[in-house]
Amino acid sequence: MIALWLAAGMTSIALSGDRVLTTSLDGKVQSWKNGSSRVIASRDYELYAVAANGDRIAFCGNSPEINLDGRTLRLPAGWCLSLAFSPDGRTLAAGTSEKQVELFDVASGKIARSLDTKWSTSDVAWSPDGKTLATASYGVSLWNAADGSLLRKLEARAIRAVAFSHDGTRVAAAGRDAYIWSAASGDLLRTIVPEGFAQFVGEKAVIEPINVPLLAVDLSPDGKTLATAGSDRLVRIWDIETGKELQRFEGHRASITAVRFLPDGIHLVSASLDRTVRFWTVGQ
Amino acid sequence: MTNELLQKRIKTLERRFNLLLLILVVAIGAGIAAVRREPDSLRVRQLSVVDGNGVERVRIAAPLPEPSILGKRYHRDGSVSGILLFDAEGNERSGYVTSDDYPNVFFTLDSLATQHVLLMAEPQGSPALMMWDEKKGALRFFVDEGQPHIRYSRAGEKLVDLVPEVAK
Repeated sequence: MIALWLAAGMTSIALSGDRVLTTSLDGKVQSWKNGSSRVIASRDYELYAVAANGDRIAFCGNSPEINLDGRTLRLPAGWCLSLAFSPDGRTLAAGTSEKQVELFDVASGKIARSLDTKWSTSDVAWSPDGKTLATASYGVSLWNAADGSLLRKLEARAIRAVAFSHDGTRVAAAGRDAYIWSAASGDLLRTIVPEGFAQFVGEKAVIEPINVPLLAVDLSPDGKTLATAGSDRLVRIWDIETGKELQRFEGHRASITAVRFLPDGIHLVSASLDRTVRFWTVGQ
Repeated sequence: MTNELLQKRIKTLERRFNLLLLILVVAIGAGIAAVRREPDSLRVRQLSVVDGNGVERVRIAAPLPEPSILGKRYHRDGSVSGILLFDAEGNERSGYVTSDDYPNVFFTLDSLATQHVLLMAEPQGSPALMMWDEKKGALRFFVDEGQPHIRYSRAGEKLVDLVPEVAK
């Protein structure tokens, strides 16, 4: 495990080629590579989300402005909580504090479509084919990206994060618990209840048997394992088929806000309100 | 200009300069004394207390900011003013506030996920204490129109009103 300390609580992660991008509450976007980092953008407000598509980068936070490669896109109301590029890079989905998700046309910077989500939207994720957008707005909703129609609601509580599997067949979400659904049928395939909260006594983590909210979820590139993290301060790897916990990473001392598998499927990166970004090796 | 007249004007200027210097010294002294004196009151729109890590732990403000929960800021249901407490991560966990839109006063205790305790008084005088857990078990105490009530519900069940039956 490699830990890198920063100035303020970390709020999101995106992968851009061989770089890891992060945002933080002190308004910084940082680029990480080979254990070192540099600030690539800075704002005077809290940043909550960063998204990447190739070299294209967008970020946003407690402001109606979204930065897209130096251009400014503007939300009609509220502020920005989440961002994701469509796989073809033509559309940028922005989850907002209002009851809407805005789909921006990247070329023009104009809003192409608005989705009525009923709640603020903590996270957004595209299916690998770009046809479906998942939104985490208390529950999970699946939308037809082409016409903005609601395809399906996936029932769950207090969802903060959502992700598609790399083959697009499954949707995973994190909230009170972690959930995995069939993307095609909407059937709930598995509920994972990650009991345990890391309470630190000096340097040693003592696991208290309580449930606290999950904030982050990601599926491994091979689709066999699920990573969860959140207020439990633990990064955990789960076997999707059996629901068993395969591995647990301790070290973060505050809520973990983001977790992502790197493309090799062996390494994970996590970001936390404890002001650290940590890189983990799965399977060791 | 004669030498005598020149001397006279220099002396006049010296007197004026000394007078100005005296006024300046007195003014600076008075200013320092005023700054050093403890203020009787502090009149501000907001006051923020941060811990050793720079995390905001207490905010007194009118109005209070939107709530920050686990790294993101969300909308509050209506504007409020008063005092907020934050945990070591900066999450809003408690508030003692009045509503800016309706004359209620509230005291709340929150978990990381949601609110769990609400103590409130309505403007006409009806007080209430409500508690609920994440599985929707709930207990409510309130007084209204001279009638005390205790209500409870187990998770997934309807509210049961206890006191009216007892009071009859």
